[in-house]
Amino acid sequence: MSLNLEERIASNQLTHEEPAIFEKSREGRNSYSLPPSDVPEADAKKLIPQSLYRSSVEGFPEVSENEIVRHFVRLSQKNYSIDTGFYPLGSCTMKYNPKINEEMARESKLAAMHPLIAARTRPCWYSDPTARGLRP
Amino acid sequence: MKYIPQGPRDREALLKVVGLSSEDELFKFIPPHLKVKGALPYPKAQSEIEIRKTFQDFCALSPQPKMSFAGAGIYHHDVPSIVPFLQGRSEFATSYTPYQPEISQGTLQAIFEFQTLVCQLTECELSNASLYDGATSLAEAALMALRVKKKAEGKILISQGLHPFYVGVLRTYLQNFSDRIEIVPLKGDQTDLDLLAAGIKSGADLVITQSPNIFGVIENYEAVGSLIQGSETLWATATPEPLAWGVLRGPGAFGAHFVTAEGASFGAAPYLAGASYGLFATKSEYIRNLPGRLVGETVDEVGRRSYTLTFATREQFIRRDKATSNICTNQNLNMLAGLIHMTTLGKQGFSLLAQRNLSLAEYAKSTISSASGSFKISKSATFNEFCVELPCDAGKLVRQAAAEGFVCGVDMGRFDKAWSNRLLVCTTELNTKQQIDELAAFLRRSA
Repeated sequence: MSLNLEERIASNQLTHEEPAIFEKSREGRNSYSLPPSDVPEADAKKLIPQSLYRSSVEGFPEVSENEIVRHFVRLSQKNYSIDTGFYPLGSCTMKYNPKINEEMARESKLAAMHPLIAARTRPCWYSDPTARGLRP
Repeated sequence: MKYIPQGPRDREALLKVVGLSSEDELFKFIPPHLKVKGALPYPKAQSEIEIRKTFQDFCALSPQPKMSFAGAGIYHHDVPSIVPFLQGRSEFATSYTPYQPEISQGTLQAIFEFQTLVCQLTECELSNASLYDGATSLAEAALMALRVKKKAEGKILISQGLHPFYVGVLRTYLQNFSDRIEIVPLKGDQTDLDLLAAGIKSGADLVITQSPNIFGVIENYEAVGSLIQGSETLWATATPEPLAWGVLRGPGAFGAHFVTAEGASFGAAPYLAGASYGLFATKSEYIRNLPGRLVGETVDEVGRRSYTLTFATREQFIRRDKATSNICTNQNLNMLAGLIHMTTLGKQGFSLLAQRNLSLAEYAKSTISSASGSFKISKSATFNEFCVELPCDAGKLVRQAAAEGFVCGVDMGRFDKAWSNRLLVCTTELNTKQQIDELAAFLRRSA
């Protein structure tokens, strides 16, 4: 059953407590991996002047992927949003945006385009208005 | 998806509420000669099947290089799968600006966490909730420096190592403040510290530097910091590639007053540099002059920890001439993706990724140098990007590589004619040894 805004706040769905992500850190815990390197490992300590070098960012989170997912899903549940209910505020942003737009905006081939390669790499639809098919 | 989903019954009900019998009656106040007859000259609305087809056609027309070494301000990185999944949650993607903290604790806590991570990265005390991008963050820092110095106009020194596009944005932002802007030339591929020292001595209000700079070279911030120390001059820094902070100290550690960076490396794709966010960090003492949005920790009426917007001195809230910035917002959804990406990298992954970027660039430097004696690569320390001096025009090589279906780097002649024989090459974790070998072979063959 869907609740209205007052009921959601009252039922605590929007206000339950969730620790900050860096408070969940456990030393040595890690959720990122890369493929094995196929080039020699550079010695950063030697290449970078000693006074400018640092080996790691102090305080950065050390959490598992599963913890990150739960954390941000919980945070999301503390928000009220257009997709959870009517929001009669905000002339500029509070309209429904079709999900197909989101899907197209995330199209990986378009997302991967670098700003400084386009103009000199052919063919290129946005430099040729007739190719866009946007005008009758 | 249909924008107008109402059926005849809905229309009848709506008309009944306003007491009308037909749609024509609703528009009867428009004189007939002003009414548009027939359809407007726009393409017909497309169904989802047609929209997908349209975008597939765009993709087919767009360059799809088989490999790329382009950086120069926008760096292509791997984005972990969980980033779009979590960022795309409706409660994040469709929530309103968090003015009502009771119903925005998710967004507010995420901003608070982002601010904390930015402070750790930059080694600064205070971060805002993000600005539009790296270049506008830097321009806001320049405006803020003038506010801190209580000056309507000031003398600003910009290192020639700053990205020329950033210089353009600065000039646009500052043009109505009648500031004097002077460029401090480089000595080789680094800021000339003697000229910088002279500028500071002659009473500059603000110094702006970038590291790694436009040549990819790591600037000596320890030396810049000691020049600034004890002077009246403020110091703002730009970092288009903040992943470098995985192996470099944050500029805050050397006394920078304002530390700004481009966010695209975390959570975003290159997107033709269109969808991004900017990092902005500074000293706590300047909190009342901070542009944009700031989230602080507090307690609610029953004593539970909660978060809220604070120090809101933007023009939306107070008189325009007293406002610290005309930016009342932040790039929240892009910032959120950046937060999730940085959290996923975590302490170990961030260092690992920075180290990998550095190793690939070092391999590329040595492979390209040994490909031909006529390629010159400076011995200066770099991160994941470096400059190759060629015996020919770099633009020619970029065009030739494009014809062969890849991007060999960025022609620096597009920034300055004096640099037209320089190719800026960037390697990230998305490049492989094989690609770098191919690039070196191409350069040997074509230059």
